[in-house]
Amino acid sequence: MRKLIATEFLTLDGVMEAPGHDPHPDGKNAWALKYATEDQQQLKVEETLAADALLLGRVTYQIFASFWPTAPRDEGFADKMNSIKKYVVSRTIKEATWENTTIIGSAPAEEIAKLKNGPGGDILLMGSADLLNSLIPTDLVDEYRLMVFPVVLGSGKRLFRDASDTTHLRLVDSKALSSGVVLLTYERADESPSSKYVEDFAWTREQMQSFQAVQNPDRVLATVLFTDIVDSTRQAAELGDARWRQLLDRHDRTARASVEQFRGQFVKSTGDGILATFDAPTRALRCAFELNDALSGIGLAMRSAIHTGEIEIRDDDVGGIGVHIAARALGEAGGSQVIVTRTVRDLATGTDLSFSPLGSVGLRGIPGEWELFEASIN
Amino acid sequence: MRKLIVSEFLTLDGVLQAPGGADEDRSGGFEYGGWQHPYFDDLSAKTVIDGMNETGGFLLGRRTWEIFAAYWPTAPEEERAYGDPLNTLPKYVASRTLREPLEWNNSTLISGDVAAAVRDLKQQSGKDLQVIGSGNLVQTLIASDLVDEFRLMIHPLVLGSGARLFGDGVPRRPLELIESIVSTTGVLIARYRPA
Repeated sequence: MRKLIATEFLTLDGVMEAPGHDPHPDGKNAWALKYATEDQQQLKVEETLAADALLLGRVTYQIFASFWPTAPRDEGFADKMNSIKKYVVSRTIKEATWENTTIIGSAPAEEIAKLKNGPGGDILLMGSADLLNSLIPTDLVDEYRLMVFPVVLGSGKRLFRDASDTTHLRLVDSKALSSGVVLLTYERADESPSSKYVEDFAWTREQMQSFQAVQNPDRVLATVLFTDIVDSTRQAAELGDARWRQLLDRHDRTARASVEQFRGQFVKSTGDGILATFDAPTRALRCAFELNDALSGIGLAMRSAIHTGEIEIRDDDVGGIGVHIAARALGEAGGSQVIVTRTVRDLATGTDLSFSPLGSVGLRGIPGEWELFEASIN
Repeated sequence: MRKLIVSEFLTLDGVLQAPGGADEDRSGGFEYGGWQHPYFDDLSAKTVIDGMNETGGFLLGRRTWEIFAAYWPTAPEEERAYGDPLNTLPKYVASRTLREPLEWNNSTLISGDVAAAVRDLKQQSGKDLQVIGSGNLVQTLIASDLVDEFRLMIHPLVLGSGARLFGDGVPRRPLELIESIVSTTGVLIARYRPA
């Protein structure tokens, strides 16, 4: 199959319009001319001599057609431009005067696909910003040869700005020319490469929201309780969907009742646990112990974490760093444990409560070290 | 006088938005966050780390500062080569909405005339200043012609949408290519300075 190769002059900001004397809407044309060096010239000559046909949009075709027939005949380049087979995509051009031209008036993608399947060598697409951008989503372009010029233009038609989805490419060659122009040759690729760094630098929505909440003046002090049924995946598998669903419903009812009993706000069910807020740490602690007892009565083990800190109240949810800390602390809790931060230990009152230190841990996404304690009740 | 260096991850169509994570910056409905990961290789890592080690301080926009401040203070141990310079060196954050004191170590707020403040910073002695990300701030810096060097890592990927380094309407500016190398994953690492 014939390859379709798009060969373009681009500015560093991706503009491909008016590299030569052709008009630019803001008069910024001729941006490529001062970088015309011998090595660049040589590459263009070789590329054109190697091509079998040109595919052009109307504007580029008209510029070429008015120049090449009377151009100076150096190195056989003008001869080649004049004699080579040319296809111009245009609904308005009815008759082409430049030799060896065929007009593609409608269904350009289909016509070009047919051309590529026919006999002959590679087809070069030069300039022709609108045509090229219309072809990017069709997968018809096999190769991009981009000469990136060391200039920023700020306006003009850009390559790739009509792209509506991700296009993966593979860089097959790069060459810096003496003028500072970089020639980049890309082929289509099906997907991005894999990298051992893929997991790095992953900022989660949770981290971002927590951090932004810190900047938010609308926040309140609250005690946050997170719970989670221990080993829920295994239990769900053992019990089957229907029975597990029943058990979860009972869990939710029991949890709501306990939260209410200790004057908390039931914020939401998290699937196999709950998130609730309380106005005092001691009430959150007593709720957790009560819930532990109640759930063990229906054969469920629960772990929980409690933190007192600033949270952000949203419509029917809560957020902010205080919530984030409690959620992260829950990750440190083992079966049936009630884990609390130091803040909770310092604020909680009641001679029947005791706290054993678990040491300091870093909670991912949260600055500093956090001292955690396991709470128990006599 | 020290230089102001703008370091950016870019797609081939010039997008700089949210290279680092899916939820890093979804403004404008941007869905491709995290596009840079698959291309990061040892040469890319070395380029970024070397750049940081030459840096005397970071100049950041509000959003990038927030993203970094949320991540780097507790970043994993194996990322210390990036985290240490970011956590310890001075950071100047341009914002009209942030208020001091700023939570992240060694951060200073620039709340007034950014161009004037950056001119002052450049006059100070010390190692070069570096801008990372900060797509909005960079527009101001480019428009005020304050950028002394662009270090661009241009990825073999087209997204078709997202905030760009060089937005429409930036002034015409001839540049000079100082260096260009290519990573194993086809990322062009190119350095330009104003010509």
